[in-house]
Amino acid sequence: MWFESSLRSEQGKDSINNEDYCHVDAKKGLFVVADGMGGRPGGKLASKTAVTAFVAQIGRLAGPARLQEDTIHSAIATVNEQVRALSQANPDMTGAGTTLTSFIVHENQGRTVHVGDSRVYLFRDNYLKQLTTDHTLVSELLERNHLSAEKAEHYPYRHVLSRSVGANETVKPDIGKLTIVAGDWFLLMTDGLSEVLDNESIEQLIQANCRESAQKMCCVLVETVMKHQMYDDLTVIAIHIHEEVP
Amino acid sequence: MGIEIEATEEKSHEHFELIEHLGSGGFAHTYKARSLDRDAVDDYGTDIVAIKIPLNAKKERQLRKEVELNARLHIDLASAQSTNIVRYLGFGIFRGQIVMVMEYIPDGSLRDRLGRIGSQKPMDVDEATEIIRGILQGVDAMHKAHVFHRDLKPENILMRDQTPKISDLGISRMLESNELASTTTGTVYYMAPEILCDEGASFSADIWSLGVTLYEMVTGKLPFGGSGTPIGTMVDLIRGQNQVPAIDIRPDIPRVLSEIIDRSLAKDPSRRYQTAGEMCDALMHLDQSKQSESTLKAPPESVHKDQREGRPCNEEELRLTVLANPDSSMGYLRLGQFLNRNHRYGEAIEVYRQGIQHIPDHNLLHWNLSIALLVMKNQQQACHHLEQAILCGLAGSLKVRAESLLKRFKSSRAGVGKSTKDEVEQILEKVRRSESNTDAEAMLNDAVRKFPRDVRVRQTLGEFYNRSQRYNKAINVFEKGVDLDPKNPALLWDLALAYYGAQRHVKAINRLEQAIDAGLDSSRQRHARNLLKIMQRKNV
Repeated sequence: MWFESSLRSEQGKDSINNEDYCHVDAKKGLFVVADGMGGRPGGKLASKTAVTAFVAQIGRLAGPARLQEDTIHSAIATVNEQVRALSQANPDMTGAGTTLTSFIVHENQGRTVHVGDSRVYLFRDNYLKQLTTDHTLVSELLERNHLSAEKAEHYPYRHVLSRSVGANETVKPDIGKLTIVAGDWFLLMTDGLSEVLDNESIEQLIQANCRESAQKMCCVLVETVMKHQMYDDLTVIAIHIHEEVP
Repeated sequence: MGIEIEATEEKSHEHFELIEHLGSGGFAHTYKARSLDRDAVDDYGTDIVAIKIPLNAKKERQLRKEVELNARLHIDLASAQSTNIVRYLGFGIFRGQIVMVMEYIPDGSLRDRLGRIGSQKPMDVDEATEIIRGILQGVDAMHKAHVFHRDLKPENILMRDQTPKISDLGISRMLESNELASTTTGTVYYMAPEILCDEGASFSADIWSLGVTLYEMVTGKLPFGGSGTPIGTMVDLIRGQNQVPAIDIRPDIPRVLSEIIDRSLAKDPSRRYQTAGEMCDALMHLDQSKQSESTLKAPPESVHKDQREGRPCNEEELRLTVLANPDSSMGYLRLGQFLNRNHRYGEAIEVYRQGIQHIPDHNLLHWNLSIALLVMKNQQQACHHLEQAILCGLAGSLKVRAESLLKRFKSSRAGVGKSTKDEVEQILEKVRRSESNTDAEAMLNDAVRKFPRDVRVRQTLGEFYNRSQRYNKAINVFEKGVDLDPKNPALLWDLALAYYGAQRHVKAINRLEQAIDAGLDSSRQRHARNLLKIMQRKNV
């Protein structure tokens, strides 16, 4: 298998600096996005610290070891400690936190690692599937039938995360397993994209561009969002799985 | 994150001198500052203020929105004049950017006093009740002006010595209109179930938030979850679980206080205190109970042993005590307190009245009766008994409270007196008391039909529409009012606000200028000039 990948990250229209951070290492099959807590001082530093620490923890391991659940849990625990240490050391960083979403691949096995409301999508057989569930107050309320889907769209506290790296002493990531096949597209993105584009629109864009390069895919997605009047920081990583190196 | 403003720069052309950085939020830094503009200092009544400076030019839009919201809220709250609300003083220009000017509150927040979530320290009960009463007075003033905070929590309560001041009045409205991309979970701890689940919250959601705050103040813990609780679990707790009673965590607090907290945390909003004033009165009653217990030292022989030892007595024993000693105030007071604790205020009133028949000049009987009457919303008779309590020698903090209650109700008593002569006033009073916006709107529309030439009715209806941001309706109502009374500065001012809300700035400027020419009062005039500046700046 060969991964063709690309990334693009843009500062939001109303942002002071881009609080998203990402990492792509196609050779090691390690892809990560993080979105520093919106409106919080230190959001940028939190996302950068989290991604750097996660890459350091996972990147040093040999291929199959990277996919082990206990290894991933332990890596996330270390990342959480490092982000919390930031806010404990600096009063201006109080409350800083971040999402962290990763896709790790070894041979034909993939793992999704997820905390927060960034997302991983799989596009296979011309259909889009969201592989992660947002860790937000809204999704908790929906899951518990405390809120209708209609109300959820306009819920005033929809940006409140139910899980994030750095917010609490411990954090539990969702870890997903899957087998990858040639032709798959994987997309990792922060909420700057998913807030503006619903799943149907993303699916249509991928359907229209799935024969293009990963770089082109990133451009199409990001530029569609940037046509809107307002948008937040946005980051996308596109990964296209090929049978063999062309 | 680095602070982008240096406090030591040349300030000769500026209207503010920065003194101290107080904090930074999502879109602004807050500084303690000295106003160097003499006219402004006269307006503010002080040269030391707090100013909010946008983080950068891009964030000015959000700060301007907050300024506009606060200007409107300030107008809504103009008549409240509560010492427990942080005063919005206006806006200024600093280094070419709009800055919001507020009252400077020197002693940190209630959160600073309590400690971070996870390591809070319980407060002294008297201190906690004193502070929460102050907050309730501020909230009461806000609610009377139909302003609903939505985000009350210790972080938003600033402290000047022991006086709490409610801040961030505009933030929740910005959140509602998605002006802020908040990701904090801190708010959830204090969120009423109906807000959490978007089920149409009302003023009693603020009562819930204060119940959580009071619980935290007296126990050092949150009633639902804590820093390590997953949010889903917290949602389940807030929705479906009753809190551990505060008295079970801290047995030395008065049972009544624990019950007051429990009532403010009723899942069903209709079972909570319906007004902040009602909860405040219940807390005053708590103080009174404590004082009367210490005043009445040695109980008569016939009083049951359990009573002497302070243990709860049953109703039957208390009634027997009253029958056995009809000339002793003790029995009436204890039975009345028992009934009040069980929210049987009507029966408590009867008991105190019986007591007064036997001992007409007992100040505590009059005081107790007045409080129970207030809970039952019988303000006129409550005032009578407050006066009697003072005449009969009520002393100390109770006397101070009685006097302050009397003062508070003086104006509304006058209103009640007038209302018999003035049907319009009577309707408007009903509207003010109404907690349902739909009812208030229907009553006002009926009144406009019935009294088409009465400006007061039109003004109240227009203000109602302005508050609910239905500006076009407000414009129609005020325009007709202005036809009837073209030189009424208050009407012109309200009309200008409606045009401003509807983004029709040319009309708004025109009406603001007319309002000023017609003799708008000085406080509003300052805000009118501020709004003119905002609009002229926008137009530029």
